[in-house]
Amino acid sequence: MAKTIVITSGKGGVGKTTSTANIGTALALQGKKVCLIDMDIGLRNLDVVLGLENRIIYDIVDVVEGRAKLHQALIKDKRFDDLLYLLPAAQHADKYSIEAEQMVEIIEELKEFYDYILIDSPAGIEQGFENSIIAADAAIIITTPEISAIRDADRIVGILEQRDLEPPKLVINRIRKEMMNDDDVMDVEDITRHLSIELLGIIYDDDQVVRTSNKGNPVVLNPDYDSSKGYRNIARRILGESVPLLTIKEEEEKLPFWKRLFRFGRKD
Amino acid sequence: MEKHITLKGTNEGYFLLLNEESSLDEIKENLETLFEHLKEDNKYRQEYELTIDSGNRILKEEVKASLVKSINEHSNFVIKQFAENVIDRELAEQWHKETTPLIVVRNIRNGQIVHSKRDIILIGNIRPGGLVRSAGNVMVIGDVQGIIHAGASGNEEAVIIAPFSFDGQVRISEHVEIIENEEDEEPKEPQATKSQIVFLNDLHVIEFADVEDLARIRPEFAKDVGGFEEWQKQL
Repeated sequence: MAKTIVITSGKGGVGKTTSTANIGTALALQGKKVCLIDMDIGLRNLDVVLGLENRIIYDIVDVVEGRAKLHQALIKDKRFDDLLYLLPAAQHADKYSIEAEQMVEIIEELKEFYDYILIDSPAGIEQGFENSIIAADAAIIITTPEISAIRDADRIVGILEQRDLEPPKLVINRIRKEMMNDDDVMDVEDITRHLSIELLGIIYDDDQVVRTSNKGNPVVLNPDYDSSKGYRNIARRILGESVPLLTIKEEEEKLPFWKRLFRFGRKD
Repeated sequence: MEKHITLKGTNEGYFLLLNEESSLDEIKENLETLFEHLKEDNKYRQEYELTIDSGNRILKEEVKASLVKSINEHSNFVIKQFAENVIDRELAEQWHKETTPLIVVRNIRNGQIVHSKRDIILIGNIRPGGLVRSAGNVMVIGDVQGIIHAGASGNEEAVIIAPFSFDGQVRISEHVEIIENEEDEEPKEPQATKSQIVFLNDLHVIEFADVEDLARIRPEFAKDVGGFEEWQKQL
């Protein structure tokens, strides 16, 4: 039986879709069978980031409205041998096309075939968000170090805590080391303490994320980038491997030597 | 003075010509006289097919029905069809609309759908996430990065004519083909890409061919078979 995890943020543009694609891909790289569900109906993107856009024949609304069977709508990612699947969102419908009970049915049907189901929630806290969390066992909140994203994340944590979910976990995305070191933005510990939820991982701001996803390849496929390591670590922690705080330090040590030196100097 | 009605025998069967300038009463009167003569002539009670030609006049349905009734009662003619030289203006407009292609001049953007029962000629680009769907054929002059769906109501004879230089998708009836350029392949010069035709072959598999093969693969393509009458029968 699959564990269903919703990936959400409240605010738009903080990297929900990119994170869903990368965490899903990282879990598949670990040999887990993963199904990604795009819930951003009307403005879907997950298919684009995964490079599966032109393979969509049926979508989730076709399934709900009976035009297609669930297995017909699932798109297999050829890069993985039968491990990664996508259930795409509809582009020509709106978020009210699906009702919460229908979402529960779809997840129930998928559960027995996968290890993990990741749901990419839309921005906002309307019907699309409701549908995303209704059948989830756990939640990952994505935020950036910006105050507006943190404020929205706090709101989402509040909503999720009212629900029957595991306590949500935090991913801080697009961290710019120099800004955090210069105290221009809240640092990782401040954000985690402020939101008072468990930290699942951090992702450094990395041009490669954009560069690779523009080609339809999640950055996590290449193990050499900082961002890729961040996502791989998150996948390991989801699988119950390592202690978050320890790995953050490890991630921080990936700073170039001269920068570490510079930072060391400043702290004194 | 011209006759109100004329009965003509031709190679294609019997024709009853109704003078368009005569009143219906005059026609009915003359018909009765005609029936008298016919009864005397036709002793074998053989059945003949008859076409009623009303010239430049469109008969109302109830007039047609009463003609059919009285002819069936009084003669051995079986009415094959009604014919006239003129067509109703509304019907003419409908015929024109349904049998000429829909020409669309714009870009079809992400999430937009152009849908028609008619053939579609798109002059513009289909962006990723755009969809052009027709019950008939689809022709595109522009880049195809989205989806083209021809024969959407089940017509497996439908074809697509378009240049394919990008990743995209084509569908004919229920069949789907994903167009994917190899990753290591040099991106083609869009202008250099020739248009291709997409059709369903005898094995119901989507196939691509050069445009010059269209006449061989679909000989009836763009031929107005049967014209107005054939179309009217399908109404």
